[in-house]
Amino acid sequence: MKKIYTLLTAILLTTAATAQTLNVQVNNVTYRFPSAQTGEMTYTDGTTLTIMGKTFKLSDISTMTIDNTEVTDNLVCITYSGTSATVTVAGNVAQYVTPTISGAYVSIAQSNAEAVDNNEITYQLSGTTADGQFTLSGSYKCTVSLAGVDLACTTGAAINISNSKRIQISAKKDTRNTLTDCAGGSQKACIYSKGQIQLQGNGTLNVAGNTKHAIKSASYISIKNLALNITSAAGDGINCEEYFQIKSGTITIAGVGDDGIQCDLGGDSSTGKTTDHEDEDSGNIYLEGGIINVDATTDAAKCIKAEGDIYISGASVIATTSGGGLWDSDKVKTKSASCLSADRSITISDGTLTLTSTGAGGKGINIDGSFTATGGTTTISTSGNAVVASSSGALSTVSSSNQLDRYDSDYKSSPKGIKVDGFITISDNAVINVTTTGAGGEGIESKTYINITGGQTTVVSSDDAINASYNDDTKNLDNAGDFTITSGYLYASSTGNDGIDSNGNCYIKGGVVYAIGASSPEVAIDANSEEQKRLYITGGTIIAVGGLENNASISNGICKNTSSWTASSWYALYNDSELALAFKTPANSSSGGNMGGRPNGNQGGSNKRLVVYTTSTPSLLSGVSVNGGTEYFGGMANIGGTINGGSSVTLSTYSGGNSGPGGW
Amino acid sequence: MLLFGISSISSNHLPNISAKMLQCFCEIITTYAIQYQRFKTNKTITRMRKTFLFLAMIIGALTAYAVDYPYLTFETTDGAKISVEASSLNITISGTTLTAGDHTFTLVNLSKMYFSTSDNTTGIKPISAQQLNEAIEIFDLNGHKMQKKQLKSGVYVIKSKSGTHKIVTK
Repeated sequence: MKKIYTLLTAILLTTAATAQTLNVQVNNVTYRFPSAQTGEMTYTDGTTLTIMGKTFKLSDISTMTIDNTEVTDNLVCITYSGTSATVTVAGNVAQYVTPTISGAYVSIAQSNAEAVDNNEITYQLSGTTADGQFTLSGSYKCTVSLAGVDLACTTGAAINISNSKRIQISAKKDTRNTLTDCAGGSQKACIYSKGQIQLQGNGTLNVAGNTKHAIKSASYISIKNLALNITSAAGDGINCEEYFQIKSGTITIAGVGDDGIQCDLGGDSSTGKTTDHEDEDSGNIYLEGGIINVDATTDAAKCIKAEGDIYISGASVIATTSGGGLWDSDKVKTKSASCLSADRSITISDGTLTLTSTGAGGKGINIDGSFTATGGTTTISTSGNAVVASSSGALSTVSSSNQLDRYDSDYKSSPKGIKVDGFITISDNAVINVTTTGAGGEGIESKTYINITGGQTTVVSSDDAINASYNDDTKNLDNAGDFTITSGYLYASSTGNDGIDSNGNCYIKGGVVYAIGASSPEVAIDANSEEQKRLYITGGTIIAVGGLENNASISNGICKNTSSWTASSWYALYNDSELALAFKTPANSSSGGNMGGRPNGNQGGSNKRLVVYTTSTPSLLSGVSVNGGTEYFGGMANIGGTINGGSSVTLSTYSGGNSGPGGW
Repeated sequence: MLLFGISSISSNHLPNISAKMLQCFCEIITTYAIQYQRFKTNKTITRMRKTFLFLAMIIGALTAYAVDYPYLTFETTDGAKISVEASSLNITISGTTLTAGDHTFTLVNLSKMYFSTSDNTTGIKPISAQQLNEAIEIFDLNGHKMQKKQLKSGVYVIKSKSGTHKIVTK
């Protein structure tokens, strides 16, 4: 029985593969009308012939033939071949499509205002031309299917769509498509659409924008499945308005003259994020899935830049900047490169981010608004020095953080890992790893407040590892410059400044905190005692190498310290008899040289106390070995492991010390 | 009854091979129906359901694709119809005339054209020598019965096995 079914199905498919078609040829355009659909075809006054609503001048018709060509409804095929192009139009959309061909320049005027036979029109591009173009006008959504097309234009955009409705640009599965525009032209992009662009398809699309952007929409752009390669752009790789979204697929952007991906507001005010992005105009960027590789090399370029918010909920992002600083004479301000930049806020709930900036002043994340991380793994590395500007805007770099103090904030830009003007909150499953090595390279900085309630944060930096600060806009807030940790894991190690620096109050209420500061006057954990702010310790487990800010308030536990400890050695910290964690001491011991201090700066005196705090009575074993357990802080701590060996360390009780700068 | 209807419709309106396929499935279902009446087994019911579903799919597919029409019929403004064989037909327009196969039309005289399943030609048309030899009766326009050897230039009506035709002799 199965064999009969199979045989009959095969016969049916073979039978169905042929179809009778009336082909009407008008120069390089062939209109294909299935005989089953034509009905009566009307001649009028010996001058016109109307078939399925399409009226032809008889004098324009080259020939009409009947054959068995298969016709796909709603499909218009454009085939490029060197200096020419041919167009075939399915009969059911013939009355809505007016092609104009000049050499390999194909222009389509689409006139339908609604779906045709419950579907939109698809324009399928294929073939090769070194000088051609596809332009489309209309007022209803449609699809441009790239089915193996290699299209270069010497006079403008390769694809120019003035249709203001939604355009699907789809790379057909297993096809490779390359679009290139001309240099020195007036086009906004190699692929330009006035309407929204949905890029999709399981094929590959390569785009080069030689005058300005590679891809530009005056509305939103969303990407799904596609393998998109922006091989070069004089401007941005992708530039759009309203919002940008990637759900899946792979984007690779390199060779751009400006930003990798930039999204701006379309209008004057933001709608914010809307349900299903209905009528949204926010300037937001949504990275929901897929893989994004962006390499931005120009001075002050951004890999991903939003005029609104950036939401990262699942994508894998690899972003690299190598450009230096730039003087903005209009705003009288020094600008720098960054991997992620948002004029509003950035929220990371999932995904994997690897952000690297190597140029002077280059940052990992730069936000005018707030930063919220509740998930995902974010790894940031900056290695450039700070860039400074003279009064005339001449730029230079500085290799010593000490030199930065003489510059106004608008005349310098430091290579910070995460720089946020608003607040920072880190919680839940967020994993953040930051490494900075250049002058002025703070690990994580907020100009409002920092609040950690979970997650794992590991910072190794050349300047403050964590800095909660304020500016003229935020200084009057009650919690301006405050740092608070209530839960989670925090490792803050600075080779040139404080481990944790609060320009307001510093509250350690819970969690595991391992802070390492440079030599005096820097400390492991600092609060702004100069302005009557304090360090308040009321819970958690703390290891502070380099001491605490003076006049710290200690409660709900006991704080002890030793001035003698061994470098690069494993210690076990106990809370009463319960093992809290094992930790490895930094490379410089209490009896050896300083912690590194600021390069070419004040090396400071001996201030290398190892301070520990637990919620009961802390005790230490030195020289232990650890088996099993879970590694934290890049291998500098272990929780849950089995401790072997070790010697008891004599600890003195910390009493709070005197008020004033520095401390222990 | 339903199966009989499907079968008869298919033979009239679908290409022969597709009609034969539908007829084959109808026979299969009829066989199952008879088996069910005799044995009433669940296995038979399951097979019938599967076959019905497959048949429905085929009917949908067959009705969805184009039918090959054997003729393209041209109508002129005076109501006359000329059917031209459609297979691989080439139509060209030159000046004031349109040529389709062996037929030439004046463009201003054309009113419409359409695909048709039968030859709809009206008016005078040529017949073959065999059709003339098979002629049973020949009449002139006045109704007088004529012999073949009597035919002079003019218009005649012939009755043959293949039908009644109007001819012009020259």
